[in-house]
Order: sequence, then structure tokens, then C-alpha cells
Amino acid sequence: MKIRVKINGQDRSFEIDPSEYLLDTLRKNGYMSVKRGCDTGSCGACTVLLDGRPVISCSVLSASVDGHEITTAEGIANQMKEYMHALASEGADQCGFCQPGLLVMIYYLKKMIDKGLIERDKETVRRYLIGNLCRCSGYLPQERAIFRFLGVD
Amino acid sequence: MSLRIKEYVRPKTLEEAYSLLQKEGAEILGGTTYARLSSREIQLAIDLQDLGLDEIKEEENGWISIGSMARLSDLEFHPLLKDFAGGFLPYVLSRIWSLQLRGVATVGGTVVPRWGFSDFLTAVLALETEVEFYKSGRMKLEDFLEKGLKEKDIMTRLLIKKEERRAVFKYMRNSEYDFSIVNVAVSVKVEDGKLYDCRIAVGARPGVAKLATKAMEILKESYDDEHVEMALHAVEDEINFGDDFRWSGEYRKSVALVLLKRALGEVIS
Ligand SMILES: Cc1cc2nc3c(=O)[nH]c(=O)nc-3n(C[C@H](O)[C@H](O)[C@H](O)COP(=O)(O)OP(=O)(O)OC[C@H]3O[C@@H](n4cnc5c(N)ncnc54)[C@H](O)[C@@H]3O)c2cc1C
Ligand code: FES
Ligand code: FES
Repeated sequence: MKIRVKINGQDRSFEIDPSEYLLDTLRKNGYMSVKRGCDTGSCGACTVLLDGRPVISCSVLSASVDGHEITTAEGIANQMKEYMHALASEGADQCGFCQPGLLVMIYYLKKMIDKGLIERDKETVRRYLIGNLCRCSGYLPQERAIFRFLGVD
Repeated sequence: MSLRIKEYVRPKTLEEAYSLLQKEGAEILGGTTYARLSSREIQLAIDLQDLGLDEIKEEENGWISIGSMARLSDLEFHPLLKDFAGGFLPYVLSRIWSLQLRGVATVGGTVVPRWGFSDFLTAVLALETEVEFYKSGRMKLEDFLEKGLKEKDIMTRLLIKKEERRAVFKYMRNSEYDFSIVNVAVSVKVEDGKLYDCRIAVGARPGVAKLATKAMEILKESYDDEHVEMALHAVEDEINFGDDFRWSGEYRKSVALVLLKRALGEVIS
């Protein structure tokens, strides 16, 4: 079956199988920032924005996004330079596999915090990042970079 | 492990969706977060996204109406629920794994399967809640959880009575990354500073959430310490706690009673 989607502002159409998940459709079509970690909804490596809200793309049927808008890390990287500098200066990442999904979440959290819909405090930010697992960093350097970027004391 | 889908459809009316559902091998799709973990084939997957079932609004008659296709994260940030019962539901929802999961999971997919481990079902059962199906109509949530449905149907809405309630949810997990091993929710109506109509729900027993009706009856007489103790004894008699690979029923029961005592203390104080 055919689906039409807007990805990072560009209209695209793909031929998909009805059993296919968005993670696979995106990777097959070159959006390689979207990673497969667990494939069961737990790790957050596959996080993208669907109509502006963060979703685990491994659990979203591709057929169901026909007519919708998707944003991947590729689409927002330019707006996240300051965050990337914060990561680099804290030596936050090791392999970097978790980072594109985390970057999408941080982009979203910043918007929600700026709108006053999510509180700007450490415990709240930690809770909203519970679904982004990192197998290398031990989280602390990432956390320092994230708090700095989000202006959380 | 994979869920295979032979044919995918997006009906334009509820009537059409219902008649498609009656075909053999037809199933409703929620967010598919749970369905996708099974290994089977759906002959006809019915996506309800074009039916306007994602609306959350206050009805004129004092109920909050939540469409079955609303995402859990839509509820979490909705102004109606932020202010209701001291933000009780957004708190409970924020305990259901990640925001990215809640951005996909739907209310229908969370209510209809009547999962024992559910945090959301325990919480809404402690409020006055009803569930509406296209053909089977509207029923109390406790009746649906106990009896289920006789036929394949489409959940259309969840309805929560909007009244002045104090509500508390407590749970125990082996780790924050796990499902609740037992969870409890207690709510009480507050009118002119007086407490009425205490509702006590116990879930992850590991069976589906259940109301402790005898304990609720006892608390109609008084909310003093003696009645709270009597209510806890009634829970011990009335609610079954079973074993599973995580915990024994005995241990579950002990923990549930401690959580309930704390929850009752908080809503009554
Ligand atoms: C990694 C992970 C962690 C989780 N952690 C928790 C947790 O901590 N606490 C907790 O309570 N839960 C937890 N869950 C469970 C989660 O809440 C469920 O996966 C989710 O609620 C299912 O919603 P869905 O819309 O994706 O349902 P689906 O998987 O799409 O559907 C489930 C079932 O409901 C049926 N259905 C859906 N909508 C309707 C409708 N409108 N009418 C009739 N039938 C319908 C479907 O046919 C299907 O049989 C977790 C799940 C995962 C994957
Ligand atoms: S790959 Fe999607 S949550 Fe892990
Ligand atoms: S840096 Fe390797 S998974 Fe996070």
C-alpha cells in the first residue's frame, strides 16, 4: 500500500507493507538517525516526533501515519547546535547510539518547558527522560549537558 | 516475534467500522504498543483515527468525556485533567513508562484488554467512571472489568464524573522500569469540608483492578482510625491476591494493605 507523509518538512510517499513499522520505513528511506535498540517500546532510540509529539517509531504502524507529519533528528539538528556543544563540552556521549532519540526528546521538552507545560526542575526532566536508555554514559555527563541546555538548576 | 497485518483499513463511520469488525480475523487497532508484542496475524486491522474519537471535553451534565483514540499523553497534558482531583490522573499516567510510549498508546487500547498490571485502570476505577461501546452502550467501569463484553464491539469513550474528589495512587514495583506488582487507588468526595463516598481500587493482584466494596461500605459510617482498621481487614477478606513469577499472593497482600493504609491516611487527613 502507498502512504504520503511529510518528513522534516518535505512531502514524501512510500510503498509499504501493512505490517511495517515506522522505524523500518524511515531507515529504509535514509533517515538513519532513527535507531533500533530494543524493538519493544522500551529504549527510546527510535524516538521521532509525530505531528509534534514524541513517539517510539518502532511501535507506530507505518500505515497509520499516512497524511501525518514526522520530524527526525536530521530535521532539527540545526536548531540543536547549542545542545550538541553542551554534550561535547561535558564529554557526554560514548558510542552516541542513544543520542538522536534523546535529542528529539530534548527538543520537545524545551518547547514544553518554554510553554510552561512541563516544570523546569531536575526531577521532572529526569522523569520525562526515563524512556531514553543509554548503555554507555552512565547518564551523569548527559544529564549535566541537558540541564545546562534546558536551564534547569 | 511479530504481529502480521494482512489488510489495513480506515473506516469513515462507526457503523462501517463495526460491521468490518464482525468479519473473522478483524481487530481494532489502538496504538499497537501492546498488540505488536504478540506473534499472530490480523486479517483485517481497523484503524479508528478518522472517526473523531480522540476528543477530550467536559460534558454539560458534569462528566469528562475521553474519546477512546485519545493518546495517554493527550490526557496527561489536558487542562481539564490537570485541575481535576489535584492532578491525580496526570500523576498516574506519568508512571506508565515513557512519554514516547504514552504518545502512541490509546485510552481504548488501555481499557479494553482489562490487563491485570494496568496502573490506569486501578486509578480510574477509584473515580466514578463509565465506559461506552458502540453497540453495548454505556456501563460502569467496574461492571465491564468484571464481566467483559459478550460480543466484539468498539469502545467509543471513557467517562469520568467531574466532582470534587481527593485521590491518591500508590504502587510497588521491583524497579521503576517494571510493571506494578501491586497498585492501589483511593478517592473520596469532599463536600462542604465533609468526606463522602470513598472508593477503593486494588490492581495488579495480579488480576484486573477490583473495587473493595465491603471496605467502602464500612467507611460510609465513619473515617476514624477504628473504621479504617476495619476497612483494611475487609480488604484482606474480600480481595484475592494471587502468585505469579514476580511475587507471591501473600506478599502482594501485605504490601497492598500497607499502601492502602497510607493512601487512606492521605485522603482522609
Ligand atoms: C515498554 C512498555 C512499558 C509499559 N509500562 C506500563 C506501565 O508501567 N504501566 C501500565 O499500566 N502499562 C504499561 N504498559 C502497557 C501500556 O499501557 C499498553 O501497551 C498500552 O496501554 C496499550 O495501548 P495501545 O493503544 O497501544 O493498545 P493496542 O496494543 O493497540 O491494543 C490493545 C488491545 O485493545 C484493543 N482495542 C484498542 N482500542 C480499542 C477500541 N477503541 N475498541 C475496542 N478494542 C480496542 C485492540 O484490538 C487490542 O486487542 C507498557 C507497555 C510497554 C510496551
Ligand atoms: S527501538 Fe523503539 S523503543 Fe527501543
Ligand atoms: S552513548 Fe552509547 S548508548 Fe548512549
